[in-house]
Amino acid sequence: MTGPTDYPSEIDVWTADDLISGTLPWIDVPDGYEGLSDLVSAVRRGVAPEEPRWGSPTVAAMAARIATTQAAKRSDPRRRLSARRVPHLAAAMSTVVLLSSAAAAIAGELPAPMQVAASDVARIVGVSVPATHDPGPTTANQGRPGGRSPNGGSLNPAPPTAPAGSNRPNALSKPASSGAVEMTSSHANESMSAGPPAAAGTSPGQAGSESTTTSTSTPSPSLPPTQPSVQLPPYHGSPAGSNSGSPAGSNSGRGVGPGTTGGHSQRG
Amino acid sequence: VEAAEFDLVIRQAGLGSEGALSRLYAEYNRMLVRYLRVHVPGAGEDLAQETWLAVAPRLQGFRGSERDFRVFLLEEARDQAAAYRRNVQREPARPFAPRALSGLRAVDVGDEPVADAALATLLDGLRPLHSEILLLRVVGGLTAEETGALLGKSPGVVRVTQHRVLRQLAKRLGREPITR
Repeated sequence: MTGPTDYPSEIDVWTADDLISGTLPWIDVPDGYEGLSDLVSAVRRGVAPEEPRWGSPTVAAMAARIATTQAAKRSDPRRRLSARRVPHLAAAMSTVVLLSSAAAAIAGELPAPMQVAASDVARIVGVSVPATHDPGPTTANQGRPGGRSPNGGSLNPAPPTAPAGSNRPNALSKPASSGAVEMTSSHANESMSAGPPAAAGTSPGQAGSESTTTSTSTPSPSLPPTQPSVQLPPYHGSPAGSNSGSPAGSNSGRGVGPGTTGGHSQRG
Repeated sequence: VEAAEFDLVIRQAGLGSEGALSRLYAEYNRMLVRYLRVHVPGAGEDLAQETWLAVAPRLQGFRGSERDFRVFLLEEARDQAAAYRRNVQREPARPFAPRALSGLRAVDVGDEPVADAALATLLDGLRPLHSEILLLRVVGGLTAEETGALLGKSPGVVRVTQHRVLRQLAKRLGREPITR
């Protein structure tokens, strides 16, 4: 009952969808859409798959490109590095950094806050690590031009009275001044063997016979750490021979002055 | 290619197997060439080859079904056509001329002038979006959902548009004159 006015017949969205996808049976094609259905079928036949053929240049080019891409991926150094070696490299670098830090902590060469932290941590595990290091004027003066005279003598000699009779370097006598005080009030030999400052800073002869006079007469323990820079000028230009009898002269490479002694005595 | 077989074929093709690549090529190349010939008359075969070469290195990383691969291939073909128009012709995209199909020889895709003529008749006079929908649906074999995803439209818009286009075409192709 389709009249000429409504030709072609109405078609709903889903029927149109089936028609355009080629799934609409011929019998169900609405009136007026037969030609359109034929066109769609003709186009679909034209894009139907064909039998595979060997030797197509395009296929050969595709295979070559895939091989090239895979070879490039295998030979990419960044890929090789990131794939397997990064974890090992990171572990090795971490180990090196850890060992270096531990060695520096044991040597007391870390910056002060880190050294204190390292000492605290090491104390937990039962390892003795110094909490501080000797960054003071000793080290600083060694690197400065004024730290040593041209003839090798120290420009920061200890006061003449301080090392009298001492053949040890001043660096070794610095704790002695602090330890000597203890020795004067207690048994010197006992403090030498028991107290670390005395053992480290006092020679046996010094502790046994001269500790009293040395500790009382030397001005070095009473000097504040900043004093050496003030006391340096009087000793500038002193002859090298004057150092020979002084501990600083016998030190001749350490350049340890009274400031060091005073600093240590304050800390001790 | 059956769905179960497709996984094996695509895996082998990703490794560079010429047999698997030949299967894929035989399965989809005619569709690809016809689609591209409409978009870039005279360069469809070249662009189809460029599309295959662009897709080949990415086959190993492809994950999906046969339907997904069809969309993947047509998406690359669209990019190739756009790049061709942009870089080679040095002019903006323009509506294609379906009548250019009439003069093409069908040597590379099989001697099927009927299909070419049918496609030219179908697309003649349509707007670009309508033509693209018909192309993707009929030539590409995509569903309304896949077509919409590729064009950035909803499936409903695709269905309504194709419904309107079919009615328009049916009127034009009607054997009997439309009387008012």
